[in-house]
Amino acid sequence: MTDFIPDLIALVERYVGYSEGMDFEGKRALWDVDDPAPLLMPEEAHEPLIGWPAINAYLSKSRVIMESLKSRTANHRVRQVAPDIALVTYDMRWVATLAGPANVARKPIAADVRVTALLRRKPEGWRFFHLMEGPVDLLSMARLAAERDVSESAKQN
Amino acid sequence: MPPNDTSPLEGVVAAWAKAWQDRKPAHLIALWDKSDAESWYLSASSVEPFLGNAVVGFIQRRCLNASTIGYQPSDLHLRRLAPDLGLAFFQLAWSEQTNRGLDRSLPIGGHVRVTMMMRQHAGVWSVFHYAEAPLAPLLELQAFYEAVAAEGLDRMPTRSFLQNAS
Repeated sequence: MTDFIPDLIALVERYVGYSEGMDFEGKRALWDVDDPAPLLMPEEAHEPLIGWPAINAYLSKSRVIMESLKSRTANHRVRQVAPDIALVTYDMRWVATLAGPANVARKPIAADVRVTALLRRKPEGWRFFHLMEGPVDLLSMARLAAERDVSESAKQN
Repeated sequence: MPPNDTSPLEGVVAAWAKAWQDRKPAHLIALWDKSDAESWYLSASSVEPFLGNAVVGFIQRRCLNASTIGYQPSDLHLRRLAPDLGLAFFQLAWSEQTNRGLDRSLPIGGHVRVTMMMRQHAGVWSVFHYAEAPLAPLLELQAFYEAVAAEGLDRMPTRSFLQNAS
């Protein structure tokens, strides 16, 4: 019953690995194209992206607004919730440099999100049909920032 | 009942929302699948998820520590993924006023997106996976700055020490 877990984790890592070359076509190829209502909820989107036109438009735009993007995952957890459906949760850290004028120096920014993903087993392998990225909220992030400050101060003392 | 009927899922979401609004932990726990040791509850304010039995404790503490809770789902997207498996995705406007701590007089709130999964046992639907996803904090903060800008230069807040002096 659990022999598919390494395959699913490998698939998630492959999906996230496509970020590095901003290969959004590669990402899209790991979605279930037969699903009539796939849902993608990126952390920076104000509304969920439901259906292929919305998801395709988002993936096309991502290449324009970012100069570089890298992502890694950890803490994977896989559950088979139906014979052909898996629920996968994991943490993802992304590091991005936003696109902008060449003469303006920009530092990379990064954050961690918690992902809930649903995948369907297809003849060609497991494929995504629901993916939601969830950062901690603003209050909690402010607390994490303050805790980091204390930790940095302690190192200096 | 048709296999694609989502009305039972809608009923669970509505009951879940009402139980939070009424701060009824027993009602919330009754909607949670307590037989699932791997059930998952990820709040937007928690760094780590609550798993299995820890979910019950979290729900009880949150209800106990709040004097009011607002929980208003909207834009429901419901799917029957299998005869006994349901998926709900919705936008959630939440608010909360705590009755403990320094900020107990100040209600706070916000918006998150929710993925909720339910399964049916013996004709009863219960929740076994719940995850909240706020907008990226960087954008929340930018929206706050934009809201202050929209108020205009002249809408400076009046400080209480001046009101008390007059």
